[in-house]
Amino acid sequence: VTTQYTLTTDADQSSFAQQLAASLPLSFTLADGPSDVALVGGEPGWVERALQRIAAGAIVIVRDPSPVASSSVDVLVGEAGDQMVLAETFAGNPALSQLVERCDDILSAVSTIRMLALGADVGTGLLEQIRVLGALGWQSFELIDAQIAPSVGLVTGRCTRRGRTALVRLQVSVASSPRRLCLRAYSADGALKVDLPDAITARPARVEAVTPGGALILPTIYETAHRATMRAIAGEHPLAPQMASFRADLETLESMLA
Amino acid sequence: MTGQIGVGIVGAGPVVQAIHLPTLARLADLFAVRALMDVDEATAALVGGRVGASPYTRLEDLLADPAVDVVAICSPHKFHAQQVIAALRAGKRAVLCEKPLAMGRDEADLIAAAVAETGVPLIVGAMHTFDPAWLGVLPLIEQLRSNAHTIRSSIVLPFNARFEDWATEVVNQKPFALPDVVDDAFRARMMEFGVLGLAIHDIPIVRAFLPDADPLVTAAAFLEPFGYAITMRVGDVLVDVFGLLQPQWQPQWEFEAISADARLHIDFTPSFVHAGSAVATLTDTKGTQVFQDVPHNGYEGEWRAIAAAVNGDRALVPDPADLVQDLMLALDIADQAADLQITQEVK
Repeated sequence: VTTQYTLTTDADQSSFAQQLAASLPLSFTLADGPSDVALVGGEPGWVERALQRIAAGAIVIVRDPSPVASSSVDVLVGEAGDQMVLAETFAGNPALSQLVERCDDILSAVSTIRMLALGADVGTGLLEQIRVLGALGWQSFELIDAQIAPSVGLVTGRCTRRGRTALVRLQVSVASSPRRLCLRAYSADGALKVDLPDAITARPARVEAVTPGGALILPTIYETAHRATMRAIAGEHPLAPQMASFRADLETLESMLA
Repeated sequence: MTGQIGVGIVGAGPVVQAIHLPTLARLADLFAVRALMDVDEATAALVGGRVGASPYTRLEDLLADPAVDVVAICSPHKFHAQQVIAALRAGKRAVLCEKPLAMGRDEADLIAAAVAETGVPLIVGAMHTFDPAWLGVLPLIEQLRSNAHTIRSSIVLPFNARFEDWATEVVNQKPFALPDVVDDAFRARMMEFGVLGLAIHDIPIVRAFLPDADPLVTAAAFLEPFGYAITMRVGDVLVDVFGLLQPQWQPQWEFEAISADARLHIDFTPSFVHAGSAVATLTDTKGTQVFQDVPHNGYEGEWRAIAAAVNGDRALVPDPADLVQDLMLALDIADQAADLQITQEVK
C-alpha cells in the first residue's frame, strides 16, 4: 500500500506541481488547504516562504533555490532543516549518484575539473556548480581567482576528495539557450564527461568514463531531479539533511563573488 | 473556443495513465480531462478520480456528457473503428485515435466517410509526425522525399514498463511475458503485432517518402523475445524496418532516409516519457543542419494540434485519405511479414 501525501504549492508553481502530481499520482494528490508536503519555488524570498510552510507543519521542497546570504539560512540549519528538502536540477540529477557508485576509482584519481554552466545569471550558475561538486564528494573549495562579469564568470580554485586535491575551474555563461551543465574531469589516465540537461523535460543525462581500456557509458534515466526528489520523499529512504552543506556552499559562493 | 477544452478519454490503460494524462497535465492551460471510460468500473473510478474526471463504463454515457468537447480513443485496437465513428457522430469538436486507426480497409473507409459526413477533425496518435524536430526539418526535405533510395526505421527499446514507471505510477500494469508455447502461429501473430504495435509509430513518416508505396516484403524475421527485422522493396527504394525490445537501458529509436546527395537522421525520444523533441540532422552538399532541443515532444504536439483544430486552425490535421493509406501500408507490411517470417533468437 502506497502512502499518499497531500501536496500544496505557491500559485507560481501550480502548473509545475500539477505535472509532478500527474507523474506520481499514487503518491501525491494536490490539495488546497494544509498539506503534508509543500512545494516552494526557489526564487528570491524562498527562505521566508519555506519557514511559513514549515511552521504549518509541512515537509517543504524548495525547487532550485537561488543564492541568498548564507546567514539567512542559519535558521534552516538544524531542527527546522529536517523538514526541508532541496530539489536541485543539476546536483539532484540521478546520474550523479550512479557516477559515484560506479566510477569512484576514477573520481578519486581526478586532478583537474572543468565545469561549464549555461544559465540565466552568474551567481546561480556558480552555486549550481558548487552543489554538483558537493554531490560528487568534493569539499573545501579554496579560491585562487575569480573573474566575474555580468554575463560570464570564470573561477579557479582547489578542492579535495578523499585527501586528494584537484584543480577546479568553474565557468558560467549567461545564454538564452536551454540551461545545461557540463562537467569534465581528468586523472592521469582517465576522463569523465558528464552532461546534465535542464529539468524542463525528462531528457536523461549523459555520463561517459574513459580509461586506457575503453569507454563506459553509464545507464541514465528519463527522470528529472525534481521527480526523483519527490519519489524519495514518498519512498522508504529518507533524504539526508542538506541545509548545512547548502549553507557552506553559499559561503563558498560569497567568497567567489566578493 | 475560450477556456479549457473538455477531454473525454476512452480506455484507462498504461498509454492513458503514462502518456495522455501527464501530457494533458503539462497542457492544463488548454485542456481539462472531464470524463474517462473503462469497462472496469473500479479502474475508471480510480484513474478518473486522479484528474477529477467523471468515470463511465459505457461509451455512450461518455459521449453524452456535455462537458466533453474532444474524445480520445485509447481502447484495444479492435474497438477503435466503431468508437471513432461514434465519437465523430456525437457532435464533438475533435477526435484523437491511438494507433492503429482500424483493423482493416473496410473499417478505415467507414471512418473516412464519417469524417467527410461530420467534418469533425480526426487525428491518429502517430506522435512522431507531430514532433517539432520532424515538423522543423520537413520543409527542407522535399527533394530527399522524392529521390531517397534507402529508408530505415529502427526501434530498439527496453520494455515499456521501464518508461511507464518514469512517466507515472501505473495501476493494473501487466509485465511483458511470452507464452509457454511459442509456435509458428504465435510468431506470425507477434510479427503482425510488432508491425501494428511498434513499427506503425513511424509508418506515416516512411510514407512521407513513399506516398504511393506498393511494398514487396522480401525477408521477415521474428526476433525473440519480441522484435522483427523486415526488408522490403518499393520500386528502387530499399526499406529496412527493424524493431527489438530487450532488457537493456538505452533506447535507440532512429529513422533515416538517404539519397545520393543527402541524408536525414532522426533520433526520437522514447514513448511515455516527456524528454522533449527528437533530434533531426540533415546533411547534404551544403552542410549539416540540426533540429533539436524543443522542450515538447510529439505527444504534446498532437494535443496542441487538436487544440488548434478546435479553434479553427486545421493546418496539422491530416487528410483522412492519408490516414487510410498509412493504415493500409502498415497492414500490407504486417500481412506479408507474417507470411514470410522466420525466427531468430536473440540471446
